[in-house]
Amino acid sequence: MELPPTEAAPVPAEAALRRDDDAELVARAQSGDIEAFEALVVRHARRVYRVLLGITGNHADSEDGVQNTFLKAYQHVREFEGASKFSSWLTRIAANEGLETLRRRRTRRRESLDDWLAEHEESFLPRNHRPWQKNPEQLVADVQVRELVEKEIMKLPAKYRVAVMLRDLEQLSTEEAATALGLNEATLKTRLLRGRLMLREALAPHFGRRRRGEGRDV
Amino acid sequence: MFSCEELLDHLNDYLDDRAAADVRRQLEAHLGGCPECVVVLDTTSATIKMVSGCRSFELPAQLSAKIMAKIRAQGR
Ligand SMILES: [Zn+2]
Repeated sequence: MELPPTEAAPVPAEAALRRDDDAELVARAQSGDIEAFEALVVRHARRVYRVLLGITGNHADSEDGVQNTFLKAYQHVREFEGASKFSSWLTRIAANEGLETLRRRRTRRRESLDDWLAEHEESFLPRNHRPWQKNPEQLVADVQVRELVEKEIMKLPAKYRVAVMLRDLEQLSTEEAATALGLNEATLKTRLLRGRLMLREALAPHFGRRRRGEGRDV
Repeated sequence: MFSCEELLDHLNDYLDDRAAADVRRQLEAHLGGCPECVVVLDTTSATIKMVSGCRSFELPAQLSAKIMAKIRAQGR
């Protein structure tokens, strides 16, 4: 993945594994070492959970999804050949699990598999242009702010929410996030921008400086 | 020089420090004359820092243990 285009031939499995921090644990898990697999669960469960929460927007569905993801990973771990990083492989299973949940839900609710698959993104223009009164370092220290951020992230449509969660919360690169979700990088970037701008817009009324005459800044 | 909408097209790359030099130059030229875009840039950057800094959505307690219990129960 990091190779320049001229060398983009399939990476030999061994070479890819050597660059993967999980390689040793994966090899042990493949030979039936359940403790090694457990270490992989501990290492990656949070990301898997966030992927599922990003896609499904539902805590109970996400907990089920995490369990299914790791059961599948365990059943298929011997088929993992190291063509990608183990974490990417796992994230991909989680994303498929989340999309499967949306698919099952389709008849119940008008949520969002169609929306997920839609190629076209209408542009989103920022409306709130007031500076914020505090800097983010001051804001994140506040528990209420954290709850507000969580609440507003959960209100985003799935395709924007998961982009923000993988990129800005899990700190994946746009390439990694796109690969994990089975999207091309351009689509991921468009969705990420939209998600960031929508979240900004939702948070702005809480943090924006008031104009003179509208009452005092807090 | 960019318009406000062109600036948005490049906002992610700029914030992620991946904008090409000429894009960066045009974007900064726009910012010099457009206080509204300065606010959008600053507050989007703040939004990103809040998401990454808030450590939101931690794994529910015991979930890893539940997973392993299921796997052990299933065997191979
Ligand atoms: Zn502007």
